[in-house]
This record gives sequence, structure tokens and C-alpha cells, in this order.
Amino acid sequence: MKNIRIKTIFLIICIFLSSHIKAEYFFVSNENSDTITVLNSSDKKIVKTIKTGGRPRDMKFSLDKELLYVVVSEENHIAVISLKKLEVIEFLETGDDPEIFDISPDGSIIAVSNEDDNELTLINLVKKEKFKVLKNIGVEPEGVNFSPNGKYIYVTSEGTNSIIIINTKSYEVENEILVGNRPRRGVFVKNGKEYWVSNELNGSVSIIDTKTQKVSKEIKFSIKGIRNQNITPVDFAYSNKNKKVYVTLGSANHVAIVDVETYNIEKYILAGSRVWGAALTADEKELIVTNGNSDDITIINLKKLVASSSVAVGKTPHTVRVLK
Amino acid sequence: MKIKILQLFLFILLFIGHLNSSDFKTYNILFIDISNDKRYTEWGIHPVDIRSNLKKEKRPLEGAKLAIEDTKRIERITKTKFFLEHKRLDNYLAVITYLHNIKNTDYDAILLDIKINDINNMKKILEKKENILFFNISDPNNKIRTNMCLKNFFNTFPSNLMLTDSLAQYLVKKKWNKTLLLTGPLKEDKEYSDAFKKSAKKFGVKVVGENFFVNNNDPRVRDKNNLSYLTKGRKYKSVLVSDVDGEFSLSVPNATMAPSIVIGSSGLKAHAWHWSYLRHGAPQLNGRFERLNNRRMESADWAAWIAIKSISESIMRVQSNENNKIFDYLKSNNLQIDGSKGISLNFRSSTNQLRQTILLTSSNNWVTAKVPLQEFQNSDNNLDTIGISIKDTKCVGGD
Repeated sequence: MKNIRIKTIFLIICIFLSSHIKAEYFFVSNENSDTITVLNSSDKKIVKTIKTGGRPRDMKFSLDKELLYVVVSEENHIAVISLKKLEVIEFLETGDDPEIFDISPDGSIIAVSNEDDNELTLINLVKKEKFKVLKNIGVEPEGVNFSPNGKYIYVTSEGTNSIIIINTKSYEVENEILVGNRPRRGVFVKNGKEYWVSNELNGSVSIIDTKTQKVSKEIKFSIKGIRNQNITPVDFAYSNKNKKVYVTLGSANHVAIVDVETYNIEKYILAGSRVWGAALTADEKELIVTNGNSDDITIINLKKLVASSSVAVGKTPHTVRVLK
Repeated sequence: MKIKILQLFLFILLFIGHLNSSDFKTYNILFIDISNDKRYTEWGIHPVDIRSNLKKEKRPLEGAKLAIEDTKRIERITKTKFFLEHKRLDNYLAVITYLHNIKNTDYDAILLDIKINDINNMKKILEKKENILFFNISDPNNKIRTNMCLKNFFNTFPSNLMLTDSLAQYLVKKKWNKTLLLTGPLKEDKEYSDAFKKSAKKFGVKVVGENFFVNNNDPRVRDKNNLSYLTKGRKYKSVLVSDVDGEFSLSVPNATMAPSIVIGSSGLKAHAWHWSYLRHGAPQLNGRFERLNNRRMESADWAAWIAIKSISESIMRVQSNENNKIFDYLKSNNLQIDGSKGISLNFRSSTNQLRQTILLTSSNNWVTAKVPLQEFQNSDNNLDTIGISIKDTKCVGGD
């Protein structure tokens, strides 16, 4: 009897506690339905849909995990979403057609690419205002990444097939590196020793050695039964824990798993139609990818290396971010 | 003493001058068109716009201008400054004379925005300018692809056969492949219908008949100007109109005797480019073009733009702006140009025709399909099932 009572009390406490632990969410921006879908990390059920206005694309969390920043391309601003309230609380001006952005490692600056105007806009997050616009950054700049030490910004320029390296002290272009065709995104790997770039039209990834600022390796994807022209890599997710880089292959509808030590392509996993956005769950046991042409997301089990489920979200899901 | 300082100063000046000139090389491009080109002064203008102040000649020179703007952003990598010169000559003969008289060193590349009337004569002239790179950016004539066979001559505008093959694929896919042809009075109309007949044979479209229309209201020839007569009787599922002038074809959709899809010069049209395409960076390209030229980008604009882009892409990749190396690179399968139409593009080495996606657009200004359709793609190249293949050419070599 006593035992049961203790058990009940324990159970009640457990329930009480669990409801007060901050729920783990992940977020999907839907480019063509102007919304963000909020899903539960545990059961992958939709919790809420947040209206953002015209064409939400890239998203990032603030360093303190209190806020989610979302570029709203057609409205020329970044919407700031409170993660407590799950609603938009303010806006940051970005200049025309913002697409991809990054937050500096100290959390003080946002750098955002303006694809139509061929510019990079820098925003002071303390003052919440634009303080600089860089113009000499190629044609159709897209991917933006601060180096982990905060000394550089790497920008992928789709129209010029190059990576443009900007010094964050002077905000001058320090170097420009020729990569493959239509470089879409980049990711720093091995604590900033390497910068991996997806070449959408080459079906390949270029790896830049950040010390020499030269391309040190190229990884070419090839899937049996799929034409090379349909292999169009876009986004990355990097797991330091698993020592893997996951690359979404666009029209090939597959995700490639690449070992960061051996550079071997270990497996291609089938996802949805035109798979592009990617993010890992907090435990890095699952990969979530957005499928731009089938309006859904696919959840990939990284242990079994198969797609375990998919969830319908809004129209043209672009980016996915997991609150960790 | 003063002289010495002056000398030193002069020396420094010279040195700086030398530094600048060695930093950047130049690449000179000439754009040739003619003043009374009916393709821009008469054809394709909507009857309403003839009386409107908004009427504006849509010259592809504006596509070339955008390409030059774009090259400024890759100067760091190409180490090349591109210059565009424009020559508008009086007529075709003047173009021939002009080309005849230029020296091999006058320009690095020439974009031809002309209808090539006499291919053999043109070939003889261009053959001697072997150091200059030529691009045909607006003439779809199939014969240019099959007969020109020059190392230094490339086509970025699609051939008629590429366009009609694209329509034929779509008709077969939709099982609308019983087609009635309505062919206009111009030579170009006949060329388009003839190309379609070839496409029909290639993909299995049955041509149930061909009627010839005239664009007037003369009651004595109503069998040629009245759609009830032109489209009566025959069992067709689609009607192809060949009408480069473009006025007659406006009235064909929704006016055929049997309910039918209309393709060709109205209804579903095959284009190298259309401003309504929303994927693969097309909105960005359209945006840049519109801001620069205050109008929408058309197929020949795109063809002029991609011609210059294929030069700058080659210079970027071979790290040299010598034309010999550029020729080789353009001909090689290593070339991968982003034309903002999805997959990367390169040239067929037999015909020197740019392989490319063709957009089928509706009269609602919407891209209905992208060709080659998946159902027809072969195992070699996603872009190879439309247009002229090596066996149809008189050219030697190539693949």
C-alpha cells in the first residue's frame, strides 16, 4: 500500500516535471505559404503554424535560445520570433530580398545575403540596425557563414562560382576562391579547419582548407540509376559527434553521408522530392530534411540509415532548425 | 637634381601604369544588328501596341549589356575586363561587307543578331576570321546548325528543331498527337512547319493535314483566312500555327472547329526563355534584366546573355583569355554553364549548338512544362533528345 502511494506520488511529480521542462521544438519555414510550421521534436506532431508574411526562408536561433530569427524575403526584413510565445515580436530591416544569413559567434552581428541586389547586409544585433552594406560580393550571393573564430565571413556566390572571404575587422574582401558551378551553401567543419561548399550544378562538394584558403579536395556524388545532371547538392548538416557531413542532393531526392576523416561517401538515403534544407536533432540520432517539391519533411534515422517517416508541412518547405 | 626627381617620378608613373595593365586583360566583344530588322520592328508586336507609346523594340543587345554588367562582378577571378561595342548597320549586305573588312585582331568575339540569308557566303567570310569567336544569338534556322560547321561559330539561340521537338514531346505525352498544321505565308513560317514535320516523325505525331493561311479579311479567300474553313473536318487533337508575324495566330486558340489545343506561335509556345519561370535563379536573372532595361527578358536576350556568359565562364575555368583555349573549352564536355534553367548547359560539338532546356509556356504566361520531358530522356545527356544530332549534319567530327 505504502509502496503504491509512493509510486503514485513519484508519477505525479514526474508528470508535473515533464510539463515544465521546456518542450523541444523544431521549425520549418514554408517559402510559398508564408508560414513557419512548429513541430514537437519527440513525436514530430505539428504544434503550431506561425504566420510570417512573404517568403520565409533561412532561420537561426539566438545564442541564448530565446529567439528565432527568420528572413522574410519579400518583406525585406528578418522576423524575430519569441520561442516562449511562439509568435513574431519584432523585425530587423535587411535590405532587398534577403535569403541566407548567419550570426557572429559572439552574437553581436547578423550578416545576410541580398540575392537580387548582389549585396551583403550587416546588422548590429545590439542596436538592432543595419550598419554596413557590402557590394563587391559577386552575383547572386547565397550562403553566408561566420568562421568559428569570428574573423571571417565566407559568402558563396552562385553567379560567379566563387567563395568570397570577408575580413570582419575591415569588412574588405580578402580573397576570392573559384569553386564548382553554382555554389549554394557552405559549412565549417572540424572547428573551422575546413569549409565545405555545395556545387549545385556540378553534383559535387568543394572543400576549402581555411588556412591556405585553397580548394584542397572535391567530392563528386554519383548514384546508380540517377543521371549526374539531377544530382544537385544544396544544404549541409554537420555532426561533430558522428564525424559525418550530411549533404542534401536536391533533384536526386537523396541525402549523402560523407565521413569527415576519410571523405568517403558512405551511403545515399532516399528522401522526398528536391530535398534541400537539413538539420540534426539534439541527440544527433536523426536528420530532418525539407523536400521543396513535395511539401513535406523527411525524418531519417541515422542508426538504421533509412527514412523513418515524413510529415506534410506548408508549401515549398525551405529551412529546418531544431531547438537544442 | 630636379631632372633626377622628375625622372624618378616618371619611372614610378610608368611602373604604376605597367602594374595596372598587367593586372587586367581586356576582352572586346562586338554586337552587330541591323536597323530595319522586321523581327523587332514588325513581328510579334501586339496589334494594340502598334498604336501605343509603350511599343518598344525588344533588341537582344540589352541581354548582352546585362551580361557585361555581370562580368564586372567576376573581374577578380577572370582578371579580365569585358568591353561591348555596338554596330547597327543598315542592312544584311552592309553586315557582310563589314564582316569581310574587319581584321582578325579587331575583336575577340562577335555576337550576330541577324538573320543569316546566305549561309555558304557567311561561312566563307567567318572561316577567315579564325581568331574571332562568333555567336548566333537569334536565328533559329536549322541549316545554320547543319551547314556552318566552323570551329569558331556557336549557336546559343535554339534551333527550330529544338523548339518543335519540344512541342512534339509534349503532344505525345498528352496523347494529343494528331495535329493539323496552319502555316503562314512567310518563308520562316514554312521553315517552322517543316521542322515540326520532322519532329512529328521523330516522336510519333500524326500530321493529319496542312492548311495555308493569309492574314486578311478578303471574303474571296475565306478558305485561307477564316478559321471555320481552315480547321474544319479533319480529326485532329492539336493545331500547330506557324506564324512568325504573330497577328493571325492570336485568334486561333478557342476558335478551332473541333475542341483542340493550339501550339506553336500561340497557345502553348516553345521558348528559350520566359519571364514567368520561377525556379533555378530565373527570378534573379529576370530582376537584373528588368532593372537594367525596363522591360521583360525574352529568348534572344537570354541567348545574347548566355553567349557572353559562356565566354566569361570559359575564361574563369581555363584561367586564360586566349581564344584558342576558349574554343577548346567551349567544345569540351567540361563546360558547365548555369543558364538559370536548372541543369548545367554546354555545346554539342557537332553543331556547336548550346544544349538547353526549352520552356513551354501558356497564353496565361505560365511555364507549363520543361523539355526534354523525363519520359523521353536518353541515357547520355538530359538535354539530348531535342534538336539536331550529328548524323543530320554535314559537319565532320564531333559527338
